[in-house]
Amino acid sequence: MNIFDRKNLIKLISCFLVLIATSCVEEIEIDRKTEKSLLVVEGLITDQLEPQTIRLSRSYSFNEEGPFPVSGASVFVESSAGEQFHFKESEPGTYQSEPFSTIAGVSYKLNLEVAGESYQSLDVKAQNDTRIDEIESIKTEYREKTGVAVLVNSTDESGAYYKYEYAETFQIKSRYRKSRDVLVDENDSLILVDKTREEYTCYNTQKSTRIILSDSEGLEANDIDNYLVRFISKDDYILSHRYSILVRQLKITSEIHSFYKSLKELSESENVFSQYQPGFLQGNIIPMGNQEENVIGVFGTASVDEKRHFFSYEDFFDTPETLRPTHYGPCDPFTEDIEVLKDLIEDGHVKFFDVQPVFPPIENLTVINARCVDCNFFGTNEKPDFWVDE
Amino acid sequence: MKRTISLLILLFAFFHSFSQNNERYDLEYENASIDEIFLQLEAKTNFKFYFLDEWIPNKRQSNSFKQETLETILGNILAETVLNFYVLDKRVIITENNIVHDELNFVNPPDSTQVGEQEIIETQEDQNAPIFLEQESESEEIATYKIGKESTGSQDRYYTLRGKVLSKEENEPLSNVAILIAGEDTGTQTDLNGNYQLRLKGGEHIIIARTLGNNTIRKRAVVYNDGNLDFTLSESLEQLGEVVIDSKSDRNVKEAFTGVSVIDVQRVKTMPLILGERDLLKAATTLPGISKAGEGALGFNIRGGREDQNLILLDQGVIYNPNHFFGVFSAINPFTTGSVEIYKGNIPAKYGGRLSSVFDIRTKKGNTQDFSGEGSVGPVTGNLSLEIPLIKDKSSLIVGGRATYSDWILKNLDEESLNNSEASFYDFIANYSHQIDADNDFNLTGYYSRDKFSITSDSLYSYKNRMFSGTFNHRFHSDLKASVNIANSYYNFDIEYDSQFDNNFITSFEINDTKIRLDLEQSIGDKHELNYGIATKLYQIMPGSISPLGSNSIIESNSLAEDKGLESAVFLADAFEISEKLLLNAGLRFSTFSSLGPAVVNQYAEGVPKSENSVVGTQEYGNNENVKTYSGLEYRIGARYFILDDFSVKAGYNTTMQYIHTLSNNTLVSPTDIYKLSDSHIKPQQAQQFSLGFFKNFKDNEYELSVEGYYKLTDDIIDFETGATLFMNENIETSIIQGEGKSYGAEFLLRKNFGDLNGWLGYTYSRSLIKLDSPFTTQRVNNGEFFPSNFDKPHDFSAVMNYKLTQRFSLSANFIYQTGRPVTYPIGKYDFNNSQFVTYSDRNEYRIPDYYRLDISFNAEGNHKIEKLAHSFWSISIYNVLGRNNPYSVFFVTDNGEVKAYQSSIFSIPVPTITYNFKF
Repeated sequence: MNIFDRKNLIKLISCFLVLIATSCVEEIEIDRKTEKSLLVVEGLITDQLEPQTIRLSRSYSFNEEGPFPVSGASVFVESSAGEQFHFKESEPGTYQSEPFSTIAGVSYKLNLEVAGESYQSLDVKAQNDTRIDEIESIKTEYREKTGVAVLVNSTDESGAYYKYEYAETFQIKSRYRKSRDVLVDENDSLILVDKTREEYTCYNTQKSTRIILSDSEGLEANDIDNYLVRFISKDDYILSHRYSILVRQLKITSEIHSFYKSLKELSESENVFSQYQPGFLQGNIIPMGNQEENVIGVFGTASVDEKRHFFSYEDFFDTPETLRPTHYGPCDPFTEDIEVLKDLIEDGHVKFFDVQPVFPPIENLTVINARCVDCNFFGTNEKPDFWVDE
Repeated sequence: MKRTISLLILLFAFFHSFSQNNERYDLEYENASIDEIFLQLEAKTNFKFYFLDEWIPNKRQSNSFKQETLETILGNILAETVLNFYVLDKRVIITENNIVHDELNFVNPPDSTQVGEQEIIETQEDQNAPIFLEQESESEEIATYKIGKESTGSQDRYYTLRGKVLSKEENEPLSNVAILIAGEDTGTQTDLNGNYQLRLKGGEHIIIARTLGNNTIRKRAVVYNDGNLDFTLSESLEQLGEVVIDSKSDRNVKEAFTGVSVIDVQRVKTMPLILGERDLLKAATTLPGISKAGEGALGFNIRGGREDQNLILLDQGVIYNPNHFFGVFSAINPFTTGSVEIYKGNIPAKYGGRLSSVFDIRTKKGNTQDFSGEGSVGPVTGNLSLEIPLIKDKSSLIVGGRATYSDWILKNLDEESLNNSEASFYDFIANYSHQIDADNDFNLTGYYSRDKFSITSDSLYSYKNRMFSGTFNHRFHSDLKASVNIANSYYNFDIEYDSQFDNNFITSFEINDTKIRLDLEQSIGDKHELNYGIATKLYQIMPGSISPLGSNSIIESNSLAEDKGLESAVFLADAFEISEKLLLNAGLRFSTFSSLGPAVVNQYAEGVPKSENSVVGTQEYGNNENVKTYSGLEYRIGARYFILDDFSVKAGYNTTMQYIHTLSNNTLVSPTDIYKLSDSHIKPQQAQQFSLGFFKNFKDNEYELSVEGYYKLTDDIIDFETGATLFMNENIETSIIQGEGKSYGAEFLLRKNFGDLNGWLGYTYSRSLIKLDSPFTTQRVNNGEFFPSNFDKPHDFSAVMNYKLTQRFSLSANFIYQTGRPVTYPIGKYDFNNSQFVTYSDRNEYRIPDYYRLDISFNAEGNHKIEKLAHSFWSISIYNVLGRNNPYSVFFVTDNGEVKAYQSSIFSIPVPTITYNFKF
């Protein structure tokens, strides 16, 4: 529920008061340096029988390029049923266990040893199953924009807290479909060849970055009905062809939920005129030694269900393909001096566009920015296994 | 040519009336001083003028006359001065403060230049013939009035002198007029009804009534007994409300209390303010010790106190949120308001319930003679107020309303994203006052304000204030007065969420309080002025409710249990004049608060932070059952000592308790903040303040200089764990941290009260610090050390100036400089949830850049012929002339997985405005 949109608000005020439609919000540089780097723990173990993952990293300064994974830690989870699950570092900062699943009603606790310091999480109870009933997509208006909303429906016997994640996969179609390429052969002359790989249709997958939370507390039934997980504006190119979304529903405890909620409020600043009082947000990881040390993050349990949903642009809108938003542009063919062309082709900057009326002579060749005819710049031409065409 | 003559009280019995002069003249002058006009008149006519140079005020005026008599012309020229004139043959004698008698004939030895004089200023009907007692003081021409029936042996006793001050033009009561006794340390001022009351020793006194500008009238009173003395003052330009803050002459030196700021409502007119909105509370922030966290901040920070520590009273009823549009405007109607006093140091014992200050806002007394009105048209709002006499001389109704046309503006903007936005507000006030007889009167006030706005199309936000207040005053006898006040205040906000996704709802909060107070004022001898009484107030808060909006909504109705409490107090204060120099004002207030059922109170395990998991039991309380009681004795002590006649030192010690708290986890207050009463888990806030001040007036109160220092300690102030959810939280105590505060400061104020150039310079150095410590790390902020509060602005300088170019035109300017407000800044980032987030510095470790702003305005007054139908007043102002981009806040958002920092500012460019004001 984003009631207050800060940028819009400031705009409103400046318009309202000054009658000038300029925003008084400007982006500024953050230049403060951190003196201490904090341990960051992220881990939700699930009721799926799979390798469970705990990520450890450190916070870093604004002028540094992350991430800063924490390697060489000892990580294990113990349960109230007396089991212990050890995690091994699979890649820097990522620790994975042998496959195991959480059991409803059992409590789990994370134990860490990082650089000689011990940390422990509070006990977190595992949740009973959760189930997504349906993922729907509808054409709608949202915040003055037309687009497609992806909605989730689920039921539970009692009130429950959810976190949602999604991975959206969308088709990308090159601006032009060309069956031939131009190459520089061993004799240093230009030749036309047939394309050997798919360069017209590609796929890209993006994971959710926002924190998406819902709960059935305060709802009449304990059902999540038509909860908005993702809204894509009609102006977004990812909607232009076929689109698929995998929605992952994580049923979590109310404590973990409220941590994410606070984090979301602090970072998305959904507030009118003033910001939430920022500060260190206490998670559930406690240092065993130095009590003053702040550890960021939470360890939690989640029961999970996933569902995939597909739709195509034509399901909702009837704009012809050529007029839909595109992922790249402008795309204007051009011709060049032969030597320049050779360099551009060899470096992969340009690709074949046309020869009119015949080739050779070389003067008849027009080329185009490679990104206009090869979608592999923006994704992969490999069709995902799950992909279902219409 | 200028001539001077020495004027004595010279009388010729045979001069008995105005020498009639029926000749008519044309005269035109522009921006001329009075002596220049006289010269012009001398040239045009064959009259000669006699006057003293030093009497001629610096004021310049413009006017033109066609075929008017000399009397009319002179009456006009001298209308706004203390000068009178008398025409004798071909001579015009100008006199200062001169009362000229025509009904009594008495003779003095003739002097070289002998002129007769006549009464042209009012005489009192019930007066005996004035008697000039002491001839040696005759250089001062003052009328003398006998007060009471002459009796012998009355010299050593004290009597009560009462009276009324009326404006000459409109016969309206004038409030805030200083009534002073020359050469004595007594004085008072007129109340809203224009009445004053003084205790005087029998015998002769010079009584001075002085209002703004140079408008002073002196009368000599020979007091034999209790009696009446009324004044009629020419109101001059101040009619339309041109008053600088505080015109109460030597009140600042004289009163026992430190830390009292008075906003002279009328003079705010010429201050350049944003979008032409005359804003009394905004004007107040230019005075030392009163500040706002930012231009769009709700609430005031008084001497380092939090925003919820101010008791804002309109005609004795609380207004919870006197702001429109996020605090850009205040919701107090400037036209209907008579006075604003802010107690920031010593608080009178009759007020209580808030730690830092009392804003005592009073509606002006309506005109009981004639129908009149006042209004303004600005770029954003229209405002109209009317004064309607209902029973002549007895009762009057005053109504005022203001509304925006902003919705219309928004609809017509090119900016598409804003066409669906909504932002509107209005406020309305009505006040009825009724004088039943000399000893009884009552006053009823109703107030309503409402704000509504939507920023995104799916949410509509609104809040409203409603207040009723009724006061009945009764005078038993001259030494005992009683007043009963009943007031009810209501504040509520709603958020309507209306989207496409079946989760539409309306959520709301409301607070309702009802108060009754009995207040008595009693004089005992001439040394003691007692004020005592009792008060009780019932609070009812609906802390939060949510209900589905529309039939498809899946939202379940829910509301939190009512929060109920009863706050009561008895108070007693005595203003004790120990000696002529030393005045002690000592007050005690015993306040008690009971949190009332029905309630279900959680009991928490000892030794661990309060949380849902540490609940070990609950206890239930029935309706109106006493859940928890707090009480305390509050001290309100102030003393004043005169070092010199116009130089005093004051000291004060003040303690306060507060049982109602604003819950806000914003760095600045927002209209969605909710109120919470003290209960089993939330202790009352407490404060004590020590203050010391030096007050000096110069040049007959033309200049005031004051230096005040304070040191304030607060305890159990409310703060929250980071990220706490406050609204609709059933176990709010689990998120609350109660800490302590410490603030101190020195306030300097230099004020020039009258003259062509008037205004003030204020500078405050102050600190406001908070400490949040606890055995539990989650409830500790900055390692439990003191840190600056969100509104700690050490340097705060304001200059507010008005310069009268001529009688009609004036220039005004404000300059404000403040240290930037503390903020918590991100100092690092981390990767989490496939996204970036920031880590923060210690709370309020950094500051936003310093704030400064210059505003100017040019004001033009319509001409001031008395008979004119409506006075008009134009104001052209430019807010933030320098175009300084003052950051209002900095904030940090995670957008598409990346951290971005933004700075927002309001009014970052010069904002020009034209406003038209009128009065009829």
